[in-house]
Amino acid sequence: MIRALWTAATGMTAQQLNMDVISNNLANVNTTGFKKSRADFQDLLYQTSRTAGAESAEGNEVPTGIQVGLGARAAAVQKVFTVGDLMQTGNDLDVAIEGAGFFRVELPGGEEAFTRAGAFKKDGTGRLVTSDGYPVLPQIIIPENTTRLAITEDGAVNAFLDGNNQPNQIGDLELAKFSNPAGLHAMGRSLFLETPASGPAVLGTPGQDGFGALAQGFLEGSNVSVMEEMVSMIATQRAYEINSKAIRSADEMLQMVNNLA
Amino acid sequence: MSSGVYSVLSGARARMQLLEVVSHNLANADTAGFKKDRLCFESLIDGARQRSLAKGVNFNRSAEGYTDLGQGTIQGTGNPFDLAIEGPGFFKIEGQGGDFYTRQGNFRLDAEGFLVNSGGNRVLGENGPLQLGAEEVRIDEDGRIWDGEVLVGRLAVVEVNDPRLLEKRADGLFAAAPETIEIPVPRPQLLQGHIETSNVNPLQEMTLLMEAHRTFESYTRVMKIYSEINAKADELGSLG
Repeated sequence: MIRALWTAATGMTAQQLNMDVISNNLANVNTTGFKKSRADFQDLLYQTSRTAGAESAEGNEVPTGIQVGLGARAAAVQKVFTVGDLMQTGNDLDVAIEGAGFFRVELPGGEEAFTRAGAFKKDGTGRLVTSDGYPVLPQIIIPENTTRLAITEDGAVNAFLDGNNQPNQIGDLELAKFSNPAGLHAMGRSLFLETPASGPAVLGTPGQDGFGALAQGFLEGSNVSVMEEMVSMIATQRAYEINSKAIRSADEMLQMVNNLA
Repeated sequence: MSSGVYSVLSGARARMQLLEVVSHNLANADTAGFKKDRLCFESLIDGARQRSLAKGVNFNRSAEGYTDLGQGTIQGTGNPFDLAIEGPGFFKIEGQGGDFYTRQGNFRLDAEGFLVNSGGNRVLGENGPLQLGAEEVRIDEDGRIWDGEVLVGRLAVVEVNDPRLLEKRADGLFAAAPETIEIPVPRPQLLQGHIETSNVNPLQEMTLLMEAHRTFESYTRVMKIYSEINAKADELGSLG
């Protein structure tokens, strides 16, 4: 009896986590380069009260045993790296990746982080930086007298200086790819860190070897589908509710036992 | 004390166990590839086996549990390593001390590029674990894995001769009994970018829950009546 109480409680805990994940997805529905998460659940241990194949008192073999499971648990919350919708912004410093790959970014501590949020800016020294001011790697310095910036599909950054019609190539944007992007560590602010599970970053030129091409003047929106999340939210709420009913039922049955005497 | 109270007790106990099974199913209403459990009761009324004194005392107990392997709903996820099987068959997972079967297809690649399940165990192809690398991978309905136009392997999708002999383990895995015979599924219906959800039907489970609850309530009421009868008997005894 107590087993049923705890079993249903694990179900409620799992659904709570599911709700947390869905809320975060919904909160980031308009976040550039955001990748939605999904909670995966697994069944917990089983207690075998009768083993299949055991001999019964009459000498017959019991064809199937009795296994009572002990509930569910969250196995993983993994990021889903499908490509979000591309939106045209017309801004020269907005760059979207059409396909696989991440931009490399240098954190203040010298560490490398990875992002798909290509809403870049120019800082006081002319460096190409993210919205948080982290420089993009390899570093690109935009000359002061630049009138227009052109970024090609394969990552070449060309600056037109002082109204000159001849572009000057001032650098190349590189992309990084991972064997298991779902294993990346999300550190917030649209940044991801490499982990042993993700595998090492493989660098490459945009548009080649499976890397996505770059699109200047575009931003990648979040890959959250509001409708999908709303449906998941309804399902989650119902599953939570139904588990609470199992708890109430177990509780009422215990109460009946208490009222026996 | 009347022996009838023990019959009622056995019935109440069986309903408790039913509640435990239903709770487990409900807790896993959202677990990918989960297969619901069912419990059957049997009555022990075999008169020939009972001694004369105990004749007419009927007991009830849980006879067997089984797993309903019915198909769960298939849901699109867009994740290339999520795989769902439509129809019969299991994925094979490499485990310590033997292979396991599962319908839980939320796979991913590990750091070395091996296809693993969410517990980190390797998914088996027809020729052992599948190492896929980082390129775009396409998996067709038959389980063949393509890297562009190159065939890189084929997922092992198997059935077993007697699914009742499968033992459930944590993490959505089924362990096979030694006498289990594997039968490869010739044309599995695999869907890439999809996942099979749990086959728990909340409506059905709620009905079972109510049934367990109400029958348990009746049993406790009968037990209470027995208790009252005994109290009356005590009163009678004190008169004499």
